[in-house]
Amino acid sequence: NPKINEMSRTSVKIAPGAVVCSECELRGDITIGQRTVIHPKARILAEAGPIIIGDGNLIEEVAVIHNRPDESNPNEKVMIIGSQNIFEVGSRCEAVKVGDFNVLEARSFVSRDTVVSNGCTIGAMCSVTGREVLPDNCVVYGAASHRKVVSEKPPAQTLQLDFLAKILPNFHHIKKAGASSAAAAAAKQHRPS
Amino acid sequence: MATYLNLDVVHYICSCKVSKPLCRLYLCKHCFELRCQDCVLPEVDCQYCPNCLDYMSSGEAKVKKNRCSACYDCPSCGHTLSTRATSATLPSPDDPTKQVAQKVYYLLCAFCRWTTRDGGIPDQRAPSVPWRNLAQGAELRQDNSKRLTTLTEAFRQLALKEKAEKERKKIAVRKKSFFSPGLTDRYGLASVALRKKSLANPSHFTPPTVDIPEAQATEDPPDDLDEAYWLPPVPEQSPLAPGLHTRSSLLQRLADPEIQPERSSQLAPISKPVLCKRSLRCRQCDHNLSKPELNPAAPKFKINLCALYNVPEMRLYSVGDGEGGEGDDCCQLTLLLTNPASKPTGVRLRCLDSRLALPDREFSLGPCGDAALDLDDPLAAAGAQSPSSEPDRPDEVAFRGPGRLGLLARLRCARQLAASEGVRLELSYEFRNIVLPSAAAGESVEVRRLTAELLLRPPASSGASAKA
Repeated sequence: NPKINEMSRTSVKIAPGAVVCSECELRGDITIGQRTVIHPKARILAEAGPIIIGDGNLIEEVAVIHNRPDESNPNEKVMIIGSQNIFEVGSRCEAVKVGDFNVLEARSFVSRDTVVSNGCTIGAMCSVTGREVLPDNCVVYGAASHRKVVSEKPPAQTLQLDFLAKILPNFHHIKKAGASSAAAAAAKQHRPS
Repeated sequence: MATYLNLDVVHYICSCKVSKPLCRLYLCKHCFELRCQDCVLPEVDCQYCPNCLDYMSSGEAKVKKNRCSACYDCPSCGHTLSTRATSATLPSPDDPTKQVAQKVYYLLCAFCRWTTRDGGIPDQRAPSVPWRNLAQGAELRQDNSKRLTTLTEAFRQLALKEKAEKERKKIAVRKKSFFSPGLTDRYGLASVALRKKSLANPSHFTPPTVDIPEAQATEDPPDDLDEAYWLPPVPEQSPLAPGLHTRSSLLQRLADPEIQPERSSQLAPISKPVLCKRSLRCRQCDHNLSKPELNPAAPKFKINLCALYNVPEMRLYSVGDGEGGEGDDCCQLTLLLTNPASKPTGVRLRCLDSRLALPDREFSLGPCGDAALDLDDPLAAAGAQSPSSEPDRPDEVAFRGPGRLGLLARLRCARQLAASEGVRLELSYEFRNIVLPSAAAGESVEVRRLTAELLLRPPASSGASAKA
């Protein structure tokens, strides 16, 4: 079964400066950019293809970033997440393309069909499932997932990232930077050209 | 109100014959009766802002139009706006040529992320500023208020003038001959009379010339609406069609009747409406039943006559299976009685429609938890034994605790209970009324025997569990 083989070939490439706790679950082909902080108990599952995470992202506990296989479209798709995004506690992201400066608040959900652009805020417990491109600086809020577009993107959390980068290594084991897999050569074949 | 208990099982009957759970009732200690929300007269004590807890008297609130001067609501979603600070390089106030990093403030809604910048209000140098007056269209609203004040002043003067005319008519009825200064000036009343006459003369009051234009009929509206009124057609794909998000929703528009913003760029922070602190009064005897402290930050009460603190509470503790005996449509209930007072009380339960077999004697309940800890005897504190001399019988008393008693009762015809209203019980208890100290004696405690009617409705599942 090719899917099982893919999942077992976990290969993670961590850029220098990224703080990735050992207790997080990483499966599949994952690339993590600089200064990204991944908390313990976060889950990044590159099931239907590789996941490329950019710089300066904050992925909190119990957040799930899942490149979920789609029965209707079984082609392998690369999930690309930009920089300076925040995936708060319990958020679930299955979107294939996520831009920069977005905030997915606690327990929010973005489906595979949605394309998240830049500066969007998906509010707590809101779910966005339509086949669409969210406009820049869009805010989704409320029990009925109301929408509005605001004039500016959410502020970058550089202070928080710096603080976490200092504090987390004191309390958790951190994965070392570099390609951490015996099958790194096999992963190179999967990298999109 | 969210509770852990099922409040519908045991109801107490109020003096107006309505059944309510005990937590919703008050005990009037002057009429010695239970009162519900409808038997009670609410009065407004003071108004307070739910955000900053700033309280004001009713007169002050009227001037401020029942709004808080410092707190604002988000016009987009209705939550409270919070003040945020950023630093921006601005010309410093001392020396306009130099650019200095300064703190500027804006309001932000944490829920929907609306900011005052979206409403077109520039960032301010001070955190507390009348934000609403800075919104667009504020000058127009201020002009309207000036016009309104001129009009009210004019009408107030007109009212004064009419009142003076009425007075003058009354004075004019009296005969003038005795008071004409020509005939009698013995006591120097001439000047006084002259002054009074001139005051009563309405010619003093010239109403200010206020321009009140005649009502004019408006022009007939055009038959066809201008093209600009129609929004561009919405493309099928995009849910946020160009232009749709620049319009305010109906709820947003109606939330601000002063501006009634049509565009989302016109949304302005709404001054937060105040809530009131109310005190409750018995309708019959006019005494206060509940009087909170004026300060909203202090949840204490000056007078608190909630029934929960004065009347023993009965709860359905558990439902056992029928054990035969009087036929198999029987079940054994355990009723829990709790004494809320800090002194022991004697309690007696009686069933009024003979559906429930209860022990027919008085039980004494110890004081409740906090007061029980003060008792010297540890056993009495734990309430394990009956405080009175009579020992508890195991077929009547299931258990005891500090201020608590579990009574065993046998319910007959359990299946018919679901159809009926419930079992009616009567609870009689001792109420200790602290009478205010009189001149002769000190503070005395009056002990009265009060009764309360209860309605017990075991939940439906317990009826089904009775053995068939």
